[in-house]
Amino acid sequence: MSSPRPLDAASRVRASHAPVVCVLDEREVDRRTDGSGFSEDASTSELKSLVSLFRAVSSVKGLNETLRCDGERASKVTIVRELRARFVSEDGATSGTRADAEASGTAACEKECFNAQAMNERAVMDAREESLDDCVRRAREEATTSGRFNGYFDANARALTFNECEAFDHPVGAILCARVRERTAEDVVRVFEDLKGRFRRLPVFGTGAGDPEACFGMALVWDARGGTSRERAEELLKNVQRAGAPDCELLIVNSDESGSFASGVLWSEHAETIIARAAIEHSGASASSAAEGKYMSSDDVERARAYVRSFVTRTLIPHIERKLFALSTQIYNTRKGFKNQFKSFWGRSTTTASRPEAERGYRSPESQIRLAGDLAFGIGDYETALAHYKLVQSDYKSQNAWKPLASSYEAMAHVYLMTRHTRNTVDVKKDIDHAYDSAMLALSKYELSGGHSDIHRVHVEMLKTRSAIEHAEALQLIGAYRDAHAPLVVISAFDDSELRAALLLERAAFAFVRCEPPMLRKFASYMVLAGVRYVRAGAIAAATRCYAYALPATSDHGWNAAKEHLNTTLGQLCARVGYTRASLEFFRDAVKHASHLTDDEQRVRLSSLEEYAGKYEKETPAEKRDAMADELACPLPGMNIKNVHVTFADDRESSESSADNGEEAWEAIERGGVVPQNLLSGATGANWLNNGGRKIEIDQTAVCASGEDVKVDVEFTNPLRLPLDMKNLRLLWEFTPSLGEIMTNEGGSESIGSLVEAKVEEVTLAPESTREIRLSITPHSSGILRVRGVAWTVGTTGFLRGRRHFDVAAPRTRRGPDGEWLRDVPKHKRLIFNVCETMPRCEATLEGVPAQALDGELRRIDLIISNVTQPMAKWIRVRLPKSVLRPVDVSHVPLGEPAIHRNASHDDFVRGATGGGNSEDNLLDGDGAVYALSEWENLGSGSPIRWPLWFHPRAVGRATVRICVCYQPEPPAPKLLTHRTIRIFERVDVAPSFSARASSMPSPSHPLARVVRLSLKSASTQTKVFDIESVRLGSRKDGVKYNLVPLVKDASASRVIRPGETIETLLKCSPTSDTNASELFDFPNAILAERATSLFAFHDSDRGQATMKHFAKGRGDVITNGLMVTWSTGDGALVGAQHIRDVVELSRCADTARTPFSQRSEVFWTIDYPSIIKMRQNSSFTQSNVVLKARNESDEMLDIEFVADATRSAPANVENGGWSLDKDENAWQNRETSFPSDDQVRRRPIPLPPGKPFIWVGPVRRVARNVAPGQVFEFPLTIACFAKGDHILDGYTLSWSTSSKNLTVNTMTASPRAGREHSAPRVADPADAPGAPHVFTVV
Amino acid sequence: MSASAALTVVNANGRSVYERELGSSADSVDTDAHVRELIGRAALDFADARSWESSATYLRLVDRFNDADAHGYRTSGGGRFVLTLRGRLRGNAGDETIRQFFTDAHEAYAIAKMNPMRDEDEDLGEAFDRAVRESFRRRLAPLFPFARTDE
Repeated sequence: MSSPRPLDAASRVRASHAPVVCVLDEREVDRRTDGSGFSEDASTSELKSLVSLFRAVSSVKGLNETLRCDGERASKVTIVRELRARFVSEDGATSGTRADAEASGTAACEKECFNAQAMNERAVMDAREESLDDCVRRAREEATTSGRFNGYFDANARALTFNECEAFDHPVGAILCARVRERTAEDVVRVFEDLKGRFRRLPVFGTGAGDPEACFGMALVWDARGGTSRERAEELLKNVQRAGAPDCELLIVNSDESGSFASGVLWSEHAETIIARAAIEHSGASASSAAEGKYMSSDDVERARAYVRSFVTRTLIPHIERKLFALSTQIYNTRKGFKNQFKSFWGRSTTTASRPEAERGYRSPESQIRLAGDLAFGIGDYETALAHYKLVQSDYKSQNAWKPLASSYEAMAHVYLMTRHTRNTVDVKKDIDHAYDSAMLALSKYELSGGHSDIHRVHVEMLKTRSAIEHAEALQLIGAYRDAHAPLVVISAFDDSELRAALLLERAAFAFVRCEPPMLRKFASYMVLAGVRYVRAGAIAAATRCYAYALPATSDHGWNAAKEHLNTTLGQLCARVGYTRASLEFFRDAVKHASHLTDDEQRVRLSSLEEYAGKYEKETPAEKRDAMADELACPLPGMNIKNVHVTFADDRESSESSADNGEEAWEAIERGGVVPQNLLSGATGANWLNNGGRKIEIDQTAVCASGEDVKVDVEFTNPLRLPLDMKNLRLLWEFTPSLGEIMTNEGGSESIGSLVEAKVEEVTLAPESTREIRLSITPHSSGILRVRGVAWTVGTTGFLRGRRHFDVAAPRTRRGPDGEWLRDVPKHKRLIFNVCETMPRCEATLEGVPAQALDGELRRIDLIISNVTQPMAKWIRVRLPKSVLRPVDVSHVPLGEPAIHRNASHDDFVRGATGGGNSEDNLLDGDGAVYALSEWENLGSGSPIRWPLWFHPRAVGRATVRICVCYQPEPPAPKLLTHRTIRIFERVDVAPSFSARASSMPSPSHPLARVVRLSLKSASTQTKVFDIESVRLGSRKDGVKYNLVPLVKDASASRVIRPGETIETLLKCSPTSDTNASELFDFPNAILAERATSLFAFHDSDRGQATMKHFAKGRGDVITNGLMVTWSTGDGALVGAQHIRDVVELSRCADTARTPFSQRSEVFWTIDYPSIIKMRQNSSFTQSNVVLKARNESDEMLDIEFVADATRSAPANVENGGWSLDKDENAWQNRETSFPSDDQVRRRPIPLPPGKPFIWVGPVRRVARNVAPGQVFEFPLTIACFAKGDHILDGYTLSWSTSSKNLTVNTMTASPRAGREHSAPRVADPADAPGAPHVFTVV
Repeated sequence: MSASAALTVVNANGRSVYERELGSSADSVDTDAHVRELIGRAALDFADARSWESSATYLRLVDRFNDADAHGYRTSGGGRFVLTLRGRLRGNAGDETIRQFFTDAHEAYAIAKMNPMRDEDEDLGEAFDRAVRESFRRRLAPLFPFARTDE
């Protein structure tokens, strides 16, 4: 049967203020006096005390009694509808001591706090994973149903009852019970009188505190099992009523002879609590037995109920009414009213010395007021009670009667609590807080006034405890849970009882969890405090419960220290109880969060974990342990289960960073031609439509070959400050062979001769470090291999076995067959492998690649390919980056197969067409050249290929070298692994050597001849000396060849570039009829021809695509390849070449002789002008004469016209061949002019918009007619300069036309191609002048 | 009298993103880290409750545990700071000084939160730690009998 739910505070207050009625039973008196007790049977089956009977029927409902208790206001009535009497026995009407309370309280919470065996290990462990909501739900349930708190502190409150202060504890009536025996009525009446005497000798009356004037009820008790007959009892009753006790009634007990619990009352619930040890011994009270009261029948109980109702209505209520009336009359006469207040003010001193307690008996005014208040409270007249309590406080204060004062404050709080529904909660809380705070203050003063005796101190602490608990419960009742903890926390520090403090702190914690929303962190912190005190009290069960409550509240991120502390403590507590499994779990969680501890503390935690892991392993048989459940798993070191990196045996290590987009680059390279197209997986369909629906691959797999290692890089973190030794570190796998059963090493056993071999490692992780460890696994048969996780052991004993399973992080970007989202796992993270049969495996290395090189350097390196396995590798193809690598052997030529273009389909490839344009930029691998030499068709084991290559970096910075080698197994190849590739990545830092620039100009010796000016400048950081070896022209399509002749003083001297120097060299390129001309000039000590040829091959292969395109568009068939300058270092160790691509004039003017006549210009012109024009002083402008000389290059007579632009000149009068000027007397008048003009009038140009530094002035349109072929005509012109600086003579056009009758003006536009059309107008602009731009400077 | 100070910062998700002891006196008993955490955690509940009652960011004294005072601060974004101080102030300018310290910490918090490379629930980092310690050293350390500020 579940324990009853504890009463709330209001019900408890109402019950405690009920009128006390003492039950005096003749049999108990006899038992005290002569020691006669129950028989053995009766002691267990009979009702032990009549008090239990009366307590069972103590509540009298359905009353409608009207009481007139106010002596001053007769019209005021109080209606009593229900009254509950508090029945006590003679022994029960006593106080107790602290020891009594402690013993009784401890017994009450014994089961819940100390009985560790009642704990459930599984329930404790479940706290580790309990959600916050569940925790709150469980805590709230326990806060309202748990009886340990009330059980403990009810004993404290019970020990304080029947004291001298609280009148509501003093009995106001008594029921005198005589037994039916063989005797006369007079004897019975005499018994009643004796019982009255005993009543008046109760301790509460003996001290003079209680008012002995009480009401009495009399009952004759007939025990049906007592031996006398009922008729005899009824006869005796009549006689007694006649003999002087007319209101005596007959009570029957034990009338159910069958003993069948016919009453249905659980008598143990109504048993009276006797607190005092001495009283317990007197009464012979013992624990209630289950059989108690089994002979009581329903009629017996109903008769008792009727008697109690009769007693209450006929005796008790009239007595209380009379008493209250008399007391109120007295109070009005002495204390209230204007007269009495006046008297109080003048007549009675409020500063009277404190009256001794002995003199403050029931007759004292204060006690009578208090009694009146308590009686009014008892019948529900709270207003009157409050008035009395307030009235009596001034008296107590004036008398320094601190204990009664505190009691009266508490009584006031009780009134506030009972009337809480009639006021708003804020006011009620305020009043309650004030009342209890005042009570606590008064008790503190009482403590000081009573000396330093322990008895007094302990008594005061009991009073304070009761007050604080009532305060907290009152606050909880009005919903102020947040503030309810404060009184409990304050008194938890009062005494040295750990159990008491623990219960108070736990109660305070429960107050927080009942808040809305629950204050879980506060709840957890107080639970921890309570747990500490429980541990000190030895209440392990309660301590474990408290810590387990706190654990879910710390489940969120962070709070490592709190988690570690809680788990460690819980582990220790469970260890004390003997729960090894739970201890192990908690110690493991503690180690997980131990990173903040010192290394010594961490060592202790690890030792504890190891100890309990060993203990658990020894205690639990192996067959009962679940190895897969990680019971003994060590949480350390931490492993990153989301990130792995798989490396296959044929993968090369590279230092590529993610910034290089390495994977994408390699994929482009592999698809760009090095892997035969028929072997690529995407070649099954022309495009994604032809390819059909893509097969959904739920578990994305990788492919590996049988007998080859698969390496998995795993990241481990050691958060501790200790080095961590990991032993037996291995991958966990599951293998499904092609033919056979699934096998795994998850169970901890690695069978010898297994088809899969996981290499076992031993690693020591440094303190507080993260390390990536490479683990390898080798399948020895074809099938499907799944790498599931990693296992290891930590420590020396081997009990701590770590085990983590991978959960690789990847975006869920794909839909599965059922619409679920699937992970798109990158290839290097896939942990499911299709294991193929044995494949050949080759290794390839580059020898001689320098870490650093000079720009333009030529260096020989070797590519070595070797077959490290037994099977033969076939059809080896090598992809080289042609911009930096080229075979030494010039007979090795790359494959001529069609290059793969971006966005091209397979059909395009089959047709030989290219998608997305023909440009080289659009190639998938534009820099790649694939070589497949015939001698590479077969590569057996032990016969490496050594392939010499030239390495020639041609740009400063970091040169990346990606070489891809592809090879195939002997047919038939496995379906999943038709080929293999080797990726070689090298990175070379290229330092600047020297920079080379060139420009050219026409040579007068021949129209095709050019003078080339080479400018070679050593790099600023360079310390080497460079010898220029040769200069060579790039190859061309046409057949015109050139001789190169140096135009330097000493051509035979070597040309040297020293650090920091710039040298210039003039070379004349003259056309020659020798078709075998080398177009080369060697300076002394030229480098070897072989190397020069290789360098030129690099020069020739890279045609400077952007430049070439530009000129191809602009000049049609004119193509240039620039110059190549070869060099060597001073010591001869290095040779190289610089390539000069864009020598502008060399290309533009390369071959004017062969330019079609129609495309050549008909007029050449130049301008004679002063290069420096000096601005006149005190003038805003100056003028200067210039002469434009135009030569007719055509074979016809031409009319040539010069016209200045309208915006760059003064307005022109076209008709007069001059420009119109207005007379202006105010401007330009004083200025000299030198331009030729016939006018004598000063003229000024119309002002132009600002910003033009000069303008053409004077005649700005000039025409020269009939200029003969080869004739030069001079146009005299004038410019006016307004601003200093460097300016270009422009802002005009020169046009010409043939001198015929039907003149047609042709214009040559800026576009050379368009301008050369016969039908097009011929108008030239300043930029078309051969010497343009014409620059002059105004100073 | 022994003194110590610790700052706890909890982000809007309730995750602890900073928890350090900022200073302690020479005679200060080395408080266990878990006690410090529990006090800071417990004060968070009261800080939350107080933030509903006040529109100010500085919530003043929100909780007490024995001789430890917990001062609260709440940012408009839901972040909460709890400064746990043990020991008595030298002088009576404590409240305003603590508010100024919280303002400095708030500024550093805002800067740390703006770091796009930092996860929302990640620790606030060294820059925040430096800023907080500097503010503590400048504003609060002179008011307490601290022998050392953990720099």
